[in-house]
Amino acid sequence: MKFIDPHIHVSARTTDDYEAMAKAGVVAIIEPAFWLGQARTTAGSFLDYFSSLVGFERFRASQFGIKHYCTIGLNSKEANNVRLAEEVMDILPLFLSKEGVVAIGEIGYDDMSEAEERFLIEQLKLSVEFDLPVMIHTPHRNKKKGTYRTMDIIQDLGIAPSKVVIDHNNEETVNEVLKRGFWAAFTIYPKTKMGNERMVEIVKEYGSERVIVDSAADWGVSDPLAVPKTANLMRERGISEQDIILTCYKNALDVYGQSGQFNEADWSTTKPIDQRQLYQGNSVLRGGQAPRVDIIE
Amino acid sequence: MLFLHHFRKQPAHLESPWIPAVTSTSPVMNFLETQLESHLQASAPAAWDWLSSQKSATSAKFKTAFSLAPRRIARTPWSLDVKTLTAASQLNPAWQPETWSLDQASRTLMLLWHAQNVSPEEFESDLALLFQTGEIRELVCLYQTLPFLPHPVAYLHHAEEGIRTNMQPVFTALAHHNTYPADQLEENFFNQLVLKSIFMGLSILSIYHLGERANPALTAMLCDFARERTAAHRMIPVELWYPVSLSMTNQSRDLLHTFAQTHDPMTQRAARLALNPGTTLEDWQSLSDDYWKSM
Ligand SMILES: [Zn+2]
Repeated sequence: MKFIDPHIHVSARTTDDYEAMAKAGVVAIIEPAFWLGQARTTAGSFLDYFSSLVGFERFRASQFGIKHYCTIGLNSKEANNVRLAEEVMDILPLFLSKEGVVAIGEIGYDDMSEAEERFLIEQLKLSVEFDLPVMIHTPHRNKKKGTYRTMDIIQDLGIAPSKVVIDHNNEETVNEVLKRGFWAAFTIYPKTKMGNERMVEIVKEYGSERVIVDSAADWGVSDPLAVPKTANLMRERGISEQDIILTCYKNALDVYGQSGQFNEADWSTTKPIDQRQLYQGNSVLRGGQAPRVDIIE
Repeated sequence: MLFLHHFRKQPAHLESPWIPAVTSTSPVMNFLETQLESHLQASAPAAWDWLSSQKSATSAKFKTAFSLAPRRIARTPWSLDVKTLTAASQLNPAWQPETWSLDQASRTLMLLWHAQNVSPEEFESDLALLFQTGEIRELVCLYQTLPFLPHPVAYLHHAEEGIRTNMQPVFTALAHHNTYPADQLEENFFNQLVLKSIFMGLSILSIYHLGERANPALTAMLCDFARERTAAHRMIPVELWYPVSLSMTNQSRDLLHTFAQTHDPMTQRAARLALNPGTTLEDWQSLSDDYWKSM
């Protein structure tokens, strides 16, 4: 079975993780721009980070046969450094129209400060300007209030909930998020918080419509195999194949596919380029030019 | 003159010394404009309208359009007939536009338009930003376009950075079927490009004018590499003996004589080719084909 992990910070993971993910059936991933565990102090650090998300990390993933996409945004924690945040806002447009950038994100509240709200709103407006979906990070503390307030702001701006994924949901928030028409993503944490077992219960109760599973694996204790493991557990607990496909693959494809940058054909038809095959028959190989054989594309 | 038949007919050892080729920008621009217009008009007129509206774009508009291109223009390859390909070869002998896609060719055209529209300083600073923020396929396009830009020498530092990249498609865009390295890079950088290509497991016969740029320092590096591989009981890529054979030193000759006797059959064959003054590039290509097939 094929899986999409629509929220994973793979830059912080090892090649062993990539191998295990590919083996478990993960075909495509989305890496949201986020905090690196420590505050950045210059806009140049953000620029290089965003560049690595559309450059080297994308290449690294391709070596394991995994298609890498990303979201670009200023995270809530670093929005609190206002001077720096303003500079980062100037950089964002350079990246938002790039290939494989499937949303603005992850943006939202952390402490629910004034500065966080200011840059959340500014970035939501950018999402309208660039016609991109949005990935919302909901706060770990004061989650319910933060989540509701974020949705209020989005709806006040007239942004369609169908273009917005509210991430890191729990049993307390899911009902309202789905009721308002947003996509509800769940991050499976290996120890505390949301675990696979709880996820199974949520799908039993709320079904699979607009429900998305992700790992949010990063540099902390987390599991890059959370999506395939949850799918397996769902199957064991008698959840239908259809619901598994929707929550662990298809819903992510549908919502982020609205960017026009996230297409199933990208991973189902990509084959390594072997020009030696390409040229057989029309012999356009020219003097002194050996055919290129891309081992990995 | 040089183009289609030069390499095949002349024995490798008799090839002329390295003379940098000059590619002028306007004919390449006209070529791309004509080809893209006919391909896009036939398949997606809206894409051509969008592209042609970028012809006199400001810097800001150009940079956005460069990134947006694959959203407006298909990523699919185009088919160019033999006559068109011959014309392309005459504009630039290493160029293989048939391996490009419509959106990438459009990006190159936009770069050439932009180079014409703004001052050299403005163009260089825009280009620097594109390199700095480049997505993989954007970087591929930038390196593929380097030989067609006016004042190509102004972009040496970007090419040197390209040698250091580990993103294989990006490296390949610079190293293979591209006249820029042979025409512009200083010896040390050119040698690094060859060695890096070998380290990445890529064919070096795809490096334009590799024979012309063979030099004793490269020979020494490649011989050291061959010894390292031998010590590690690993295969030696046979192609590396091609540039060695064109810049032979006493040391490399001794090494080849030893290898011609004692090594695996593929290396023995390569060593004999290298030691035979009548060997042609075609001989190297057929050895290389056998080598890659055996991998
Ligand atoms: Zn995250």
